[in-house]
Amino acid sequence: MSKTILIVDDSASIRQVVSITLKGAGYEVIEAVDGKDGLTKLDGKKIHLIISDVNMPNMGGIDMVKAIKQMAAYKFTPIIMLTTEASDDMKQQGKAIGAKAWMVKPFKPEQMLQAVTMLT
Amino acid sequence: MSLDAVLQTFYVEAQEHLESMENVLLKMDEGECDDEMLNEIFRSAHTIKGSAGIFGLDHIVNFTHVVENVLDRARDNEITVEKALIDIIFKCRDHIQSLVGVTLDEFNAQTDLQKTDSDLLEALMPWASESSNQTITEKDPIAEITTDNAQANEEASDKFWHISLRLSTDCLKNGMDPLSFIKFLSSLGEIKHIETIIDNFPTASDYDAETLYFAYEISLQSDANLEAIENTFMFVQDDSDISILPPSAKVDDYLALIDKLPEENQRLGDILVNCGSLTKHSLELALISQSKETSGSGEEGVNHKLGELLTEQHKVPETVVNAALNKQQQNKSQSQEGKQIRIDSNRLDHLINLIGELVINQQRIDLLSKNSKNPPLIEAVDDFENFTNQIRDAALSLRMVPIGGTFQRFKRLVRDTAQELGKEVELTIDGAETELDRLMVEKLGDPLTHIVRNAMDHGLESIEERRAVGKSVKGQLKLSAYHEASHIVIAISDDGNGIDKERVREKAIEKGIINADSQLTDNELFHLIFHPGFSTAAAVTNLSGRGVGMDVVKRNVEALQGSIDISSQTGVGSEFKIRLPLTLAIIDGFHVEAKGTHFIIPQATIIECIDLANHLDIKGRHCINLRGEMIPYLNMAEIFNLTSGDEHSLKDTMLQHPPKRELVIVQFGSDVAGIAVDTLNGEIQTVVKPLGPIFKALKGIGGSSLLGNGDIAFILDVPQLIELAISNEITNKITSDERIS
Amino acid sequence: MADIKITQKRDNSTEIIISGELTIYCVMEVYQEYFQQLKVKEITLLQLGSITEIDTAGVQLLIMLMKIISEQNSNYQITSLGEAVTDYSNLFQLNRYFIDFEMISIEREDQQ
Repeated sequence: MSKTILIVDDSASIRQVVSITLKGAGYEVIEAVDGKDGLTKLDGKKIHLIISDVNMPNMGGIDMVKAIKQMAAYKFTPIIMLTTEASDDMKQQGKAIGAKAWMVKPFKPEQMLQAVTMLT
Repeated sequence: MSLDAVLQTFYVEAQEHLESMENVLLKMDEGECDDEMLNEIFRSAHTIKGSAGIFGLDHIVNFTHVVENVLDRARDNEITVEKALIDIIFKCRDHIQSLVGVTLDEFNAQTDLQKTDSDLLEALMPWASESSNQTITEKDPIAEITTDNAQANEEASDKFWHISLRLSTDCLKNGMDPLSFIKFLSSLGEIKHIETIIDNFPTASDYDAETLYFAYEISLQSDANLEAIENTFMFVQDDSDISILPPSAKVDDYLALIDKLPEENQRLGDILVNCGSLTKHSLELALISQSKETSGSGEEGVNHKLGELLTEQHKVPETVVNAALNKQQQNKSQSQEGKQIRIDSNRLDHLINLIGELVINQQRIDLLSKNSKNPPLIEAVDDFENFTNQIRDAALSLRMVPIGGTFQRFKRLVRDTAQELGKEVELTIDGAETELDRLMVEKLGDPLTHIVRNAMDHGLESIEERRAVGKSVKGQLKLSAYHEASHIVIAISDDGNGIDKERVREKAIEKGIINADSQLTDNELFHLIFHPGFSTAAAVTNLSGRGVGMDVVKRNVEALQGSIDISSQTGVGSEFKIRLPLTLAIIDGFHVEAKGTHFIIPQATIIECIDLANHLDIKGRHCINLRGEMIPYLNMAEIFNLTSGDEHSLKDTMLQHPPKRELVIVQFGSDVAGIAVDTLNGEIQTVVKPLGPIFKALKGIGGSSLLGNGDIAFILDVPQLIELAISNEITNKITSDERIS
Repeated sequence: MADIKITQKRDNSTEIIISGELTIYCVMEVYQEYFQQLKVKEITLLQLGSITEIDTAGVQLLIMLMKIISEQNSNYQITSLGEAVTDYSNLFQLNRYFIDFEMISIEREDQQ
């Protein structure tokens, strides 16, 4: 059974590249354009990994993860946060809500695939 | 979808962010600056860099990175946003735009681009932090795994690594299952042995099912480098104890590890032996030599190379992480794109074409139903028509975009032009939300640019001149858009000196455009500036060019079935009004016939229809007197050399009274003319199909359309026809005047 | 969510059947509801063949269950193992916990 990954990023090009890369490696990919959309797209589906940008309009990554961690079905779903802004402050904030994996932009598609493989 | 297609997405996205950067910069230039704006412009640079990186567009990444760094520092109040900085960021923005336009290879081949690149980076230095220049090239750790990985799989190596994992007890809760790391490790090489240590299991009452109690000792045979192995654990390095002993590790290193680990030493020793990382013999030897505390003598195990003991939980991932920049503000930029979807414009055009066909079919059904005289059918078809119209409107609205985006672009143009001219200009924008067809928006850019430049160059006075006449030093330029009788009007106005009528006149005479004694109305005079080769500027500047331009403006606008009006008052200012139809795809037309040929006159241009027979031709001229006003007219049959096609209709014309002559009075802008036809067939909604290249030369026809009954109708290009009528009329007038004199 | 069935048998044995997904999402609940207060007889039969998915939290729970069983001086016998547990056990070389030579009933031949 292929694993399902949710990618949340307001940049369409990043979403599409991630999506193509992961689909090529046999993953199912669901795309969302911001935190709010991300929460909607979960829709009770089984999700093996969430990849989310931090700085997004409408609802940012941190707020979305906070909400996800409240949901029994996704409490333990691993989350990769995409950012260039991985300052300690930021990481502390992320850590407090259970986002442990940070990936620094820009990354190459193969880097993303590696990271995803590590967590699924 | 291919990566190439995504690259297109990237270009569109980058363009949007560049526009947004420009808008913010323009506001900053006006002295506005708040956190929101700084965050927005930072985010734009940030997203461009992030997306470019994923495509390996390193030239964009490297440059944008420094810009991003500077913007980030501004956001954190480490540097102040001063005029000089804004100017440089403006240039950087433009440079990013150029970078987005070229591939990495092209960039590497273009020395001028590279020069701009390094010049701008140099200029940014006072504001950039020292670290910003190097970070990018340093961090690419995971990419290396790939190559190492490939190597590792090629042939089994004899390199044995030892990995000792005491992962964060919270890692299961965070969705980080050791399972995935072990799986990943096995992709780097072969796991020779893995010992799951359960010593830390609590009693039943203390057991927390979501806490990780397992610890691991792993022996990995792999050619991968240290970094690659370390990276496996990049997501769990915090709060974890991860020790990796390289193949070169000495027995002492293992001893140090054993000491460090929480489990009991003898047991750990056994585990390491189990792993094959240590032999029983060397372990015993080492333990003995250690117990003797005779470091410095003996064979192996005494050679203290602790420096090689690579136990680090912070090392690698931290470099990755430090490369990254700063604290994020949770400010959300007020982008509306979240609520929008992007559609390939070709698909949209296809849909609109199909709807066009639907409208035609609907009209045919309408015709048939009316012939059938079947009331329920007619009623049903009426409903159908109603919905067809709604579908058409809805589909057309998909292609409508607000003009605001186009207007925004002029802020930059105005700023730069003002700087170059040494004038002060304030641009105000009105009606940015007015929507018009996307196709038109694209084609409006050039004409608007010309008019705006012209207004700034020729219309607005210099600071001294303005001061002298008591005007505010800052020249006012206004771009506005609004609806007016099923048209959209775009107006460009300034409070400059107005068009110098005398000067225009002189120039026109000098250029031989008009005769010295021609009596022209103001309007006619103003329109002379659209004449090819006309330029009133005493000095030709590089801005508004050499008088090419304004005639192009007129042509472009007419190609959009639009018109331009000029009003101007000396000393007070000028206004250019561009009048455009709402859409280009479907028009409400008026169906007429001349000699059996069908024509459609765009409804919006029609003022009235009159019976030509009731109005007398003014002698020798195609001109009638309509309520005291002289109106030139054109005879369709004459202009297009129409003859009745077949004998049958010819006979008809002979036998019956000649067809009733009808005159359709049309207006475009402030010009009025008549179009003489044989029959009026009524209102019709029609889909504009462009004419093939053969017909391009044909003046007065803007397109064709299929009628409900399958006949072809030509859509009249009213502005061209009016122009023709007027110029014919002028010629006629001159000839008749000559005749009189 | 895993399904747990505990049967106290007349032959002085306890049978525990675990089926479904035994993962981090349910281990806490399963532990508290079924294992924390578990009482077993002399022999405990573990039927793990219907476990469709297991992760580290799930394996820890099984190990904890074995500990509890041992503390009550009961002997556990794994009556069926299933693919999910076998895969995990192979990867982590945990076969010493998950093979019971006394009553082996594993379909797969390639076990140590």
